Formats: sequence, structure tokens, C-alpha cells
Amino acid sequence: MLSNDGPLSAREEQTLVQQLLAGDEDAVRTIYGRFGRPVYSLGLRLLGSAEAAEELTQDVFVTAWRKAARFDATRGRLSTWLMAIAHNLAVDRLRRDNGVARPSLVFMSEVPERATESGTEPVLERDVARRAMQSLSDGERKLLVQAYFRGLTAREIAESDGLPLGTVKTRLRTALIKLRRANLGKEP
Amino acid sequence: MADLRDGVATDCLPVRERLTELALSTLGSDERAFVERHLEWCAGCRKEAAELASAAALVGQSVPQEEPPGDLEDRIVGAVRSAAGIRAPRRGRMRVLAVAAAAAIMVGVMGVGWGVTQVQHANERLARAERQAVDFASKLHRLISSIVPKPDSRVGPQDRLKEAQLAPTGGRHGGGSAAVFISPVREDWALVVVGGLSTKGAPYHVSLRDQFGQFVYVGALAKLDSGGGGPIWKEFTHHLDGYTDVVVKDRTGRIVLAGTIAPSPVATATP
Repeated sequence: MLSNDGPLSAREEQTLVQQLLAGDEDAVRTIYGRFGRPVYSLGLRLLGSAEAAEELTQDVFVTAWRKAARFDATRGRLSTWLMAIAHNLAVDRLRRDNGVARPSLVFMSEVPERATESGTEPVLERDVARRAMQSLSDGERKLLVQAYFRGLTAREIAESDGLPLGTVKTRLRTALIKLRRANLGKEP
Repeated sequence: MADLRDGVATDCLPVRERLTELALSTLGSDERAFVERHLEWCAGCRKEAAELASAAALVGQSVPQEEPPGDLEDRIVGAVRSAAGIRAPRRGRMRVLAVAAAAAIMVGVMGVGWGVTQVQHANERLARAERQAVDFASKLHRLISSIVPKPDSRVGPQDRLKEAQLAPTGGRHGGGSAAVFISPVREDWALVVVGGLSTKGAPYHVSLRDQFGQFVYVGALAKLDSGGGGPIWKEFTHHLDGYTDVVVKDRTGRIVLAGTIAPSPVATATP
């Protein structure tokens, strides 16, 4: 069984997902130990309740099991894959509940920190992510928050902010590329 | 050789334009399917999609980390192992009262409502419907006994049961009924019983549809019984709350039966 410390290599991630496909308990627990908290935290942020976040986390792992055969570690990291599944499922749910449970707009810099009980939070990935977010301008961060956390399409953002659709698309893409560049060299 | 514009194959241009929104999960289902089909074979677009996806994941990872409840890990292990076909202890899997309510709906609807959905030879069809009702009720009870693990289980106070009566579309024949169980703490499930369908249209595919036209698949009916149908049951790990219709499509994709999901008059909750 893999430890919960240190980054995994692509080969280790591929093996882990193959074991997940077989329903291997250790593999599920290892993946949960590494990624359960960020997935749950994202669910909490997007869906607004602990109950919904728990349900989302469970759905993410079952969906990951269902799609495990298509996971290719050479194309992307396991964390990216799981977060994408989580985000897709959450946005689908937000769309279903449109107008009822959309979360309020919150800037990353305005999100209050909460001390964890264990004090052993694996902060590495989150620190990297926060530093990457800080490389963006306020405008870029706002656009990403509108799309990522509120599930607004580029067209909806363009209409609400009075910007041309092409401008919104270009700025969103630019923001993601800046994030990617800020993170280059920090991945295992 | 593919035409190029700004170094990108023209086939790829409509895909590249959508990769940012794919990464941000804001593409509609049709556009998402279009892009994903392209990514299956185009390594260049796939590479860019992976880079944008990894950047989008950073946005998600930047939120403050919260501690999940202690028992969530065990629940997830159980859910994955169950999905993988490995038996594991699960809590609140199925509730007898809810299933009994479903059975009551099925038998009631098939006994009374079924005939209403038919369009020809009322007496003959009513007699046939009654035979089908008895046949389906028997199947339903067999199905229930195969999926209910604990006879002393109960539904929770927030659990709800909805039902739908399926009527034929476009002058076709057949009918059916459905029960949809929705719970905030347990797995949701859908049970659909159909009959009077033509073997020529098989396999039939049963789905639930939400108000936005999005479908969730319940299952397929490949072989029809002597009544021209059979039961389909599926448990879901996500909520079925937003689904408004049950639709049954034939092998060509045409909708042959449809019905609106509505709250059941049968009480589902116990104190």
C-alpha cells in the first residue's frame, strides 16, 4: 500500500486507478486519503452544505471507479482528473437546481481560513494552487470565479458584465494559461 | 494534409474555441460530447485540453480545506466496492415500506390506469391489462424480494416516492408505470414496469429526463416477456429529484412511452 506522503509518480497513479477499478479497498482508501479532502472541500464551496458535499464526494469516487478504465496517467494527474469529475458533477447539479442553490460569489482572497482540527492538513497542493491564483489579476480571478464557482457560461458572464463574448472567452483562456504557467515545474 | 489556420488544423478550430469552457465545466452537454469525440483522436487538442484542465483543477484546489466527516471514507469504500460487485455492508440500501408503496402504486396503476392508456377495444384491452397487472405484480414482488436486504427496514421522514404513468405516444401501443424513490440520506432508485410493447422495437431503453432535457439512463429491456414488457430497476448514487419525466425509447431512438413524474398519493414516510 502506498503511503499518504509525497507525490505519486504517473506509474503509481496508474496502478492505483487500476486497483480502484478492481474495487481494491486499500486503493480506495489511499485515493481518499490523498484527495478526499480537496474534493469534499470543493463540494462544500460549490454546493453550500455538508450533506451535499458528502454526497458529491461519494459520487466522485463511484464515477472515478466507473471511468477508471479510461484514466491515462500520461495525459494528466490523478488530482486533475478527480477534481474535474467533482467539478463536472457539482456544476451539473447546480444547473439542475438552477436558481435555487447557486453559491454566492466569493473571492479567493476573501475566503476566511479555518484551522483544521488535525493540524496535519496536506497543504502542499493547496499552497501551490493558491500561489498560482495569486499570479492572476483581480479581473482574471473574478472571471474564473464566475465560471468555476458559479457555473456561469462565457455567454452569461458576457451578458452580466456587459463585455463582448469573444473578450470573455479570451480572458478566461488567458487566465487558465497563466495559472498553468505559474504552476509549471511544481508538479511531480 | 489538413488545412491550417494560425498553425491549427481547421477541423480543430471549433474544438479549440471550446476547450476553456470544457475545462471550466460550462459547456452544454451537446457541445461537450462534440468536443470529447474530437479529443478521442486528436492528440494536439487533447494536450491543450489536459493543460487547461490541470489549470482549472488548481482553481478548485485553492479553496480552504475542510475536514470531511469521519465516516465518509467507510461509506465511500462501501459504495465503490458495491459498484464493483463486491458485497460490502451498506446502510439504508432499500426500504421495505417504500418498496411496498411502489408495489401498491404499480398494482394500482396497472389495475386502474392501464386501461385508460389504451386506445382500442376497451373491453378486450382491459382484460389484457388485468392479466398484465397480475403478471407484473408477481414480477414486481420477485424483484422486490431480490433487492430488499432487511425486512425490518423503514423509510426516513424525508424520503419521498414519486410515480409516473406511462402512456403510448404517436398512436403506438403499450403502457406502464414507474416509481421513483428520493431520499436525502439513502440511495435513490427508479423502478419502471412496462408492457404491451412490440418485440420489433426491442431493445427498449428507459431513461428519466429533467426539465432541461438531460437524461439519466435507467436501463434497457432487451427481451420482452409474454406481456410485451417487464420490469427495470436501478439504484443511483445521485439525486433523482430534478427529473420530471420517464421516457421509453425503441431501438431506433423513438419515444414510444412517456409519463410525467409526480408526487405519489401513497405516503412513504414513517415516524
